[in-house]
Amino acid sequence: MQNSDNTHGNERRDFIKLTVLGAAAAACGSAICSCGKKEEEGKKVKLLSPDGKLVEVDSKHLKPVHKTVGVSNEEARHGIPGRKFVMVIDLAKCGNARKCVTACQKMHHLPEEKEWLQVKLMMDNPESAPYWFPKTCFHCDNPPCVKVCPVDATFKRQDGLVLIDSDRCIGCKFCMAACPYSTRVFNWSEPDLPEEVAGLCYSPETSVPSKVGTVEKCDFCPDMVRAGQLPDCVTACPNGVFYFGDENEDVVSNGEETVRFSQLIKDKSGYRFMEDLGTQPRVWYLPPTDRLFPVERGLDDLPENIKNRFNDVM
Amino acid sequence: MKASISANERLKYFAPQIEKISLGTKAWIAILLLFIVAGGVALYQQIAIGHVVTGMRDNVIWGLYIANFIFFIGISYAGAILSGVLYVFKVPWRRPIVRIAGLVTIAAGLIGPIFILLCIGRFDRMHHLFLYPRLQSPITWDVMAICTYLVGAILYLYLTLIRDFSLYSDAEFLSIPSWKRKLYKTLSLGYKGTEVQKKQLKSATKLLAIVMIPLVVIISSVLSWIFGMTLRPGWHSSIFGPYFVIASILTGVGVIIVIMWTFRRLYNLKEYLTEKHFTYMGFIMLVLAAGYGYFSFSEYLTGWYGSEKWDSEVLSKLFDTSEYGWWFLFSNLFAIVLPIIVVALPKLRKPGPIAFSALLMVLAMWVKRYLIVVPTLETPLLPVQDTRMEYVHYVATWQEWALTFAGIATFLLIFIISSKLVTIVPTSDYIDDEKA
Amino acid sequence: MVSKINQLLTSFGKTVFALLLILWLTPSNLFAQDPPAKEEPTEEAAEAEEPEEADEPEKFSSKMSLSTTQFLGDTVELQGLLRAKMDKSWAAVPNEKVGFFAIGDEDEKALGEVVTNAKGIAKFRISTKAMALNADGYLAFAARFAGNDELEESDGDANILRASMKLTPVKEDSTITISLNVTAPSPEGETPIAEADVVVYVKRMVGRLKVGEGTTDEEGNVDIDFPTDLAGDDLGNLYITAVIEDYEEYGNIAATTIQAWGRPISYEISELPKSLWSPHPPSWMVITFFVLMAAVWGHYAIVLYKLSQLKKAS
Repeated sequence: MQNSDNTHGNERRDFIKLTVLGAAAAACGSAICSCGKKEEEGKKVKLLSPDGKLVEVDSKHLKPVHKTVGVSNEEARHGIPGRKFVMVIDLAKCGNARKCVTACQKMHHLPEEKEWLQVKLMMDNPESAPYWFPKTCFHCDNPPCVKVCPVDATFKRQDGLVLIDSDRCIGCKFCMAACPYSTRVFNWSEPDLPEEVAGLCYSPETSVPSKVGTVEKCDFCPDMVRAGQLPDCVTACPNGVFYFGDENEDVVSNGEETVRFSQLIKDKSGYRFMEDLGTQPRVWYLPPTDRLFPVERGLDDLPENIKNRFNDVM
Repeated sequence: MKASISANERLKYFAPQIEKISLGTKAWIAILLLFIVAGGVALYQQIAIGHVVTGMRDNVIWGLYIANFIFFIGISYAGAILSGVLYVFKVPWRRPIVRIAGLVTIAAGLIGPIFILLCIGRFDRMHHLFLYPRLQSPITWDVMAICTYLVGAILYLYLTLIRDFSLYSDAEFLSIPSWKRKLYKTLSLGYKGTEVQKKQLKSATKLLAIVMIPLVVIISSVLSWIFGMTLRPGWHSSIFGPYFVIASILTGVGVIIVIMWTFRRLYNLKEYLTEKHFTYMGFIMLVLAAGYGYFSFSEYLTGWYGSEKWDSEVLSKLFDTSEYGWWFLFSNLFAIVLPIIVVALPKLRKPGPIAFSALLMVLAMWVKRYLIVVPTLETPLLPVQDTRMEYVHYVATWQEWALTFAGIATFLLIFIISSKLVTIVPTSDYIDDEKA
Repeated sequence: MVSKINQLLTSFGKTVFALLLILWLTPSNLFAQDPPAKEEPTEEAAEAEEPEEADEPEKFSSKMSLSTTQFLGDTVELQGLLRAKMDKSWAAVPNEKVGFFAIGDEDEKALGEVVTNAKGIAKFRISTKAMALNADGYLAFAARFAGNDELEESDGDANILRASMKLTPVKEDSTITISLNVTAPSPEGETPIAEADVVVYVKRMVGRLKVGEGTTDEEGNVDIDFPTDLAGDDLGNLYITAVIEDYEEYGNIAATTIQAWGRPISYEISELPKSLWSPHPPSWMVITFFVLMAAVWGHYAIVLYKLSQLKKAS
């Protein structure tokens, strides 16, 4: 930075706004992992601010808030006891605000072009009405991706989650071929991450940091759940589209309302996407009836490159 | 040792092949090395910059490399099963062909897996395959199958070479360097043609030949199951196993015919690789092409007739001339129709046309591998809806092509080097004939 | 003949050379080694923020909201929510100290300090038994944030009348009822609070599930049916809360209980079944695999044995 005043200005804002990365050292646990470098005081570090801008901050302002999961790899493979995670996505409420997408990218330090959570514009046939279709990983109970993994790098947990151990993945991409929902993304080159993020210890529960030559995807944010919070996509949605919860408790919540999962599915005719594939997704959809917005509204205020994605449909 | 005199005479005839390297061959080797160096540059970039230098992206996650992998490993399987079948059934005209088949097996069998390594994001973690194996993964099956197969193939080729090694090391008239003679002597395991030795070697060879046949069928199917086990249109097909088996053998037979024709001219082997051999190999090619055509037809017919949503989408890309239509037509015409016509018409049933049609067929079969891998990956079940063209449509980059050609160059190089170590026609095989 | 072939070879060789040259001269090759330009976006982002910085005041304004919840036994939970104005919206301020105070008629007493959590919330629970009411008969509290380099100070207060809710769990055969009695102290003793809306919640993984509601009668009583099909923790325990929200001048009035009315959920981590998607392959697969491998490698062993015999025979 050439302009020192400018840097100072940034600092002031960032110290509150940045819900930062977590105590890298604490997450790593011990000296075994060299990645938990201690930042020297007064050192400038680059970070992504919550509104998606790259800013430079003094490292002494970094405060541990986020991504501080300290579970062992062993625990991360077993899952959270007694849980069976489930998500319900209400298509009637989705207006393609894309807040879920950006929140997810922020939380997992993904570049703008990498979307673990995608919003597609679906039109089942030429006569039917198009609708916005947010798509997370479905965390299938019969996951085709896990079946084909040769090294147990992607695995199914007791709490229903399908996660990835990026330190184990060999990058064969077979899971990407096997997933019928195009959920997984590959790191085709070295991810461009700020130093502190790149230095974090990878955990399957945080899926951070991205590693070159490996596969990654939506993880349902079990680290947030462990902290008693909803995944960021759920809380970021202005319309309460996403309901996240526990099937054992039979409860899902979108942050605003907390409801019985079975009742919601029953009342609103919940269904699972492409049920006939037999993958048994853990994500349910509520059909787009009695919509909150006309579908065209979702095209407003979109950047050109994203708007153009939907040219074929609308 | 009456017979060996006659065998030695034959050896004298083949001798120039292993005694010296002609200028033309040297030039060839230089060219091939250049290609390999070009591939090396591409590989360096791929490692230094990442797989982003390839045309592969999140939808088309496999491209040229996997097509090459299926192509080469298929050729290898064909070499193994052909030499196995010819040996087990004591086909009388097999002699000048088995060595070529054996060498094809090894050369292609070593190149194929390299392409898998090129496609893998982290080949620095290959040991994970053995540290944390998951038996449920078709990749685990394939890794085990290919390792097992390569050991068997190398062992089998070696068994068929022992008598030749013995012959070379004993033939004092051969002007070869002493290290080469020593090598032959060591490799011949002291084989002197005693009755006991003959019996042992024969039973060992026969045993392995019998094992290789079902082994090839199984591992060739395992290869197909990497695709067949997924829920993808164009891949998720129950006939993929036998389809791959027959496609592999067909391609391999084509490659062997082309190599037969080349060496026939290069080393003046007309007396050994006669028109009859081309005719017989041609017949095999015809039968396989017909069988392959039958599988292709049933595969596409059922998909087209049933017209399920995703099957139709892939098929429409294959039939559409603005997408893969011409390539699809080319692959079917030249891999199925052309070989059948050339071999069926007596006028065309000559080494030249057969070899030429085999070459075109091999090319068509390579295209077919591409058409299996890429169009399916470009047709995911959910709409792509991406504005980045490279994520929508796969175009191989020069790095991928360079490595592809480096693979072909390596294959040819292994072949040329092998032909300097052993005769293309297994000399010692004729000893038994002389005796009888 | 041979020379002809040589000629052929040479011309072919030339073609190959030419091809190689073309390959090497392809533009993509020339640029492939260039390092990607990484620095630019940072500068841009920083510059973009500059003018905005200049216009903004020296400090950001903050807001403290204090709410109270009364529990049986003269216990009050104070909850301070600290927010700061950022980009025209209120954002939670984490990791800042909030001081709680009891306000008397003449003096005030510091109760304690709590650091805000990720949602900007600081909670503090005290017993009010010994606390004097102020001249108007209210319990008076304040929560203060002292401000810091970036934020202005702020405070919030709450004045409440004493009230209490008594919760009696009633389980009869197959029905469960929560009996509640809401009263406020007065010179004549406890006077019932009538027509207050009570909601019964059960604590869930994220948030709380509303399971029943009712309105108190003239005696301050209400019986609320409680569902019998809820899942509890591993012991079947349910954490039940009855709440009257922000009622008149009483603030929130709440009562809690823990009852083993739920269906116990196993917290045990058991082995996943033998299946395609678990780490344990189905038995038939293991058997088939090893039988096949043994058969082939067994034959190899026989062949090798025969080869060793061959050497011996010489």
